[in-house]
Amino acid sequence: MVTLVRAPNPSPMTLSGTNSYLIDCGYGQALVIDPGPPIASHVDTLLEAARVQSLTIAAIAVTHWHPDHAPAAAPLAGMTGAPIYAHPASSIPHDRDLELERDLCIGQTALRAIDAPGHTFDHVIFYLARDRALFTGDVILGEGSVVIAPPGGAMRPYQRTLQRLADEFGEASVIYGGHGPIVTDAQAKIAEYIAHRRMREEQILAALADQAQTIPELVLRIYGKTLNPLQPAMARQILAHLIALEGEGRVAAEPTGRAMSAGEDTMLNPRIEEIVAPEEAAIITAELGSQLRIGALYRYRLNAAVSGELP
Amino acid sequence: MAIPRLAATVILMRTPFEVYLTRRSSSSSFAADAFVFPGGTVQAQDGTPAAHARVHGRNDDAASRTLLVAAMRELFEEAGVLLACTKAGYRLEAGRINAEEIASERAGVRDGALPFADFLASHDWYADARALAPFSHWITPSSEPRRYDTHFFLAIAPADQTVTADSIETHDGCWISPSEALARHRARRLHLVYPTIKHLERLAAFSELESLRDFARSKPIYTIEPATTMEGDFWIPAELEGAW
Repeated sequence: MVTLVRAPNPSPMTLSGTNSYLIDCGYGQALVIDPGPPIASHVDTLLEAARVQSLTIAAIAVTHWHPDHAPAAAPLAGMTGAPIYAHPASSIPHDRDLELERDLCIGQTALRAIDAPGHTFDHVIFYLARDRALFTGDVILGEGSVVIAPPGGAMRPYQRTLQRLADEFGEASVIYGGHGPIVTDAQAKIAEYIAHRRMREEQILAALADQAQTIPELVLRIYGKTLNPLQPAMARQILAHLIALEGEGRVAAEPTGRAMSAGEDTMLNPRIEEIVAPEEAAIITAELGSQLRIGALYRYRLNAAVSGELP
Repeated sequence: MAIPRLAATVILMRTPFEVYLTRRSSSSSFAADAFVFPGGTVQAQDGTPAAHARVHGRNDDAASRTLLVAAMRELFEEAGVLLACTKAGYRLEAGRINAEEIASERAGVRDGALPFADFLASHDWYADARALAPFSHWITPSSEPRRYDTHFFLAIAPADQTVTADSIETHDGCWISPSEALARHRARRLHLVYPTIKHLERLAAFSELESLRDFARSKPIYTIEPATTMEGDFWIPAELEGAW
């Protein structure tokens, strides 16, 4: 059985809150995936969920380092003695490196640890073959879409991760995402995510085919001119696409040579700590990669030689 | 897509500002003949309780300790430099570590006959984690068949130890200033690989160790995986140049 314990940290980035999962692995042992933010009541709820099912928390696994997913691992480990597992490249404190593409065995249950870079470099997805279920962290959510933002996020690795799920986990039927509701049509959701990124990139290429543009111009063109609090997320999203296209030689970036206007600066470099509480600012900053200050304004143009190709 | 192997690399520095580069042997499976910072992949022995018990100075988690041991071991194997302290954390007195005296043990560590932790234990030395400053974290692009997940550390060479290249993995070593290394590379007189070049460019902005050390202390570490261009070259977009 899989128990969803939702953390009390709702926000635009975390939707209704972070999803922590308690998995009954047999022999009275449980695995917790993504203990969540460091909120004492949430850790208590996880412990209580294990207690009522007469389970011992035998292991803790973290899908990625972000502050809405990982920090409760340390107190939960302290209270249960369970080891913390994470991606070998993860910067979060952990006791054991996950063996990627191998099974993590707890109790009677094996979960495949899948290397899933893109949202962050240290992202893993777990596949529970017993339930034909994927635990996708922030690679796929129950609703809405995921922010892929540099420097931690990278678009092509993310797209390859999605494609791998479609190619190699075609038997998966359930997705337990890091936020939002449980998805019962896994394959349709994976296909929707793949199509969404492709559509966005085609929009960007179409806009650049008209004329060379800056990221703020692309945001207004693609997402509309209405002032929207999510514009910085859109800007970073477009940056991730542009960086991928630049690497492939399909788009070139040239400095505009002028200073940013206040509006452009706010869109590219949002001052989040001035708007929200510190805990929430840490989460938004991690999601947007907005610790990366974009110092210069670039104009992006299609490279003539390859402009005709679409992915 | 190959899974990156965990690796540790040490940028060893001295005043006036120079860094130590070793030449990979021409038979190396990776970056043959290139001049690189000392380093290598993490081994099973680096993650044992015995190895972790030989780290002094930081109350780190297991994964970080494993990396520190690997970095210390590789630096010892490839450059003969030992960043060691006593159990209580005191630096060893000048001259305690004598390259000639421990040459045979170094050979044993290098060929795997002598676990690094056993070597430290036999002298009652500890790997001094305070001597290694985490600096950056690079992952080889996924287009490559051989990939590394490399943590770079900065270290200042102890004045009383002589740096000596080993003769197996590396057969040549040199102290050189970052700007001079880059100039020779541009003149095609020094073979460097991409991560080394980018690190040297970053280091070349500093003229003295103190300012670099201050920078390293305040610098956040963001994982970077360069992209691969259509021509097969590694590439970091301008927007991310300063972001790793």
